[in-house]
Amino acid sequence: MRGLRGRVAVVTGGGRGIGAAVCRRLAEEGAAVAVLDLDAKPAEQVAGTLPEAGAYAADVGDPAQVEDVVRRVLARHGRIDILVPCAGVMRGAPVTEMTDRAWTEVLTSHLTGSFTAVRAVTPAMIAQRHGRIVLISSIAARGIADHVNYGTAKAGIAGMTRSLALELGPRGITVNAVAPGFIATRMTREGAERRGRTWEEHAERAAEGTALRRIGTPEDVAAVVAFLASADAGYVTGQVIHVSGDP
Amino acid sequence: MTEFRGAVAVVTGAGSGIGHGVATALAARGARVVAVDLDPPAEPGIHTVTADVTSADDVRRVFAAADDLGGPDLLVNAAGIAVASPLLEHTEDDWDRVLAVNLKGSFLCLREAARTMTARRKGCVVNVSSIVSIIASPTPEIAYDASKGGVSQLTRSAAAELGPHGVRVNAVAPGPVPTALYGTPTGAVPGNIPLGRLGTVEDIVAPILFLCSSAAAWITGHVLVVDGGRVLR
Ligand SMILES: NC(=O)c1ccc[n+]([C@@H]2O[C@H](COP(=O)([O-])OP(=O)(O)OC[C@H]3O[C@@H](n4cnc5c(N)ncnc54)[C@H](O)[C@@H]3O)[C@@H](O)[C@H]2O)c1
Ligand SMILES: NC(=O)c1ccc[n+]([C@@H]2O[C@H](COP(=O)([O-])OP(=O)(O)OC[C@H]3O[C@@H](n4cnc5c(N)ncnc54)[C@H](O)[C@@H]3O)[C@@H](O)[C@H]2O)c1
Repeated sequence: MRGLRGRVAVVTGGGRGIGAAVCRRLAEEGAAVAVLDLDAKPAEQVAGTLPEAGAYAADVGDPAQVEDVVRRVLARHGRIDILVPCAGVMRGAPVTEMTDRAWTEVLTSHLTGSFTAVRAVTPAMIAQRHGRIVLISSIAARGIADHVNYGTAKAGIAGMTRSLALELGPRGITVNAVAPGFIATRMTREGAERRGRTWEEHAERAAEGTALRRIGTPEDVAAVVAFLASADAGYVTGQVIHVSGDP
Repeated sequence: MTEFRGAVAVVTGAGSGIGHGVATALAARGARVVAVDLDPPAEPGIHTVTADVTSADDVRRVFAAADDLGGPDLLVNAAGIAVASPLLEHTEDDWDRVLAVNLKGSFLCLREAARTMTARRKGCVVNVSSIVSIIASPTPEIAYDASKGGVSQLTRSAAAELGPHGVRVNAVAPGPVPTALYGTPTGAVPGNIPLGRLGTVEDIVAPILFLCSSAAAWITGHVLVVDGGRVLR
């Protein structure tokens, strides 16, 4: 399974959780991976275990920082084939108590962060006439109480996926998204804390809510991202694939 | 290329087009394939069964053969027919035949497969729906479109019911792919496909194999559209 040999991938939020699993999986398939995260340390920890990988510290909420990373990746590798923007935060609160800051942080990290990364890498992909963009939506795009910021951002990602697929298809670029269900990461561990539940209790409830009766792992999501980045998905574009153990 | 080594795979409609592509690709990756069609051509290394998927007796015979090999691990429901004619010219017989092959046939095979799969607490089914379960077909084929709408919902409902028993059920929804069913493409590539080309059998086979694989272990009840972006237009 070295189907991505010679490919170069940029993964934001690659320092931990789903992003880190995506970095590992893409590297396993042969890609050189640029691991971008807020702080250098977690990015270096992930990149350090992978051949040809590099670590880049940047805030995806700042377009100049993202553009600078993309310039450095292009200088090093000469191309960018795959973009997977996984960076983002959750800031839940009932709508009556949601602060401007919580709204902005979520919309900025997920939506603006994905848009800025897409805008930065597409000139190279267009020039190559090859590109694979895999965005991260969520089953929360269907609606999620006490997280109107997050539900809005993830539904926005679905719209971004379809709009970009239409626009970039004729340029040889496919654009798809995965919509994960409940995955064991720090994001969901913090959710357990917020609700005053133990992790076991929280995870078990989530598992019971799925047809396959288990929660997901970052690797479950990464495997689907790798498919969408591969030649096997060459005719798939504009799709949001649910990776949630449930219809 | 050994992902499916030892797996027993039942593939319907395996005599032609997408089903044929799936059967040969699974066999090449180590699966023991039971290839089902009305009149399946002999293929080296592939176990063929002549059967009509609209007949419950035939379908039982197919799965008895799969059980003899150790039980079905995979089922791909690719048998299908289409009748293209305006609604006012669609006969009752057209409607019955199309619904029988595409929808009832998928149900009968799913039910027989599920007997063994739920008992063994493992298994994976991939149905072949179509983008005309989402958008109206550009040329009228009302029974076909309705049958594919049924196949997509069969997929979701079966996934919800069989998931707790360890069985995944998904579908692909292909766009236009030149095969015997589709006919010979005429004229220029439709301008309404963002990727700028018609699909190929390989384009559809690879996502079907993905859904059958461990990479899709946490995907169930999903109808994966494979159409070069056609439904976006
Ligand atoms: N965990 C789940 O159940 C789940 C479900 C559906 C979707 N998702 C989505 O998957 C993605 C990854 O989530 P996760 O669960 O791995 O979360 P996580 O919190 O474990 O990881 C997120 C990473 O993004 C980084 N990050 C956050 N803001 C950033 C910024 N402004 N600039 C650069 N990096 C930033 C963090 O430092 C962290 O390394 C997110 O888009 C999330 O919404 C997660
Ligand atoms: N080709 C396309 O553009 C396209 C698009 C979307 C969906 N599909 C679907 O893909 C599937 C495969 O179609 P294809 O394009 O490969 O067509 P095809 O005509 O090449 O193959 C279909 C096969 O099904 C077999 N079959 C028909 N009735 C049967 C029955 N009662 N019992 C057993 N076998 C039977 C046929 O003999 C044939 O070998 C069908 O479900 C079709 O609806 C095709």
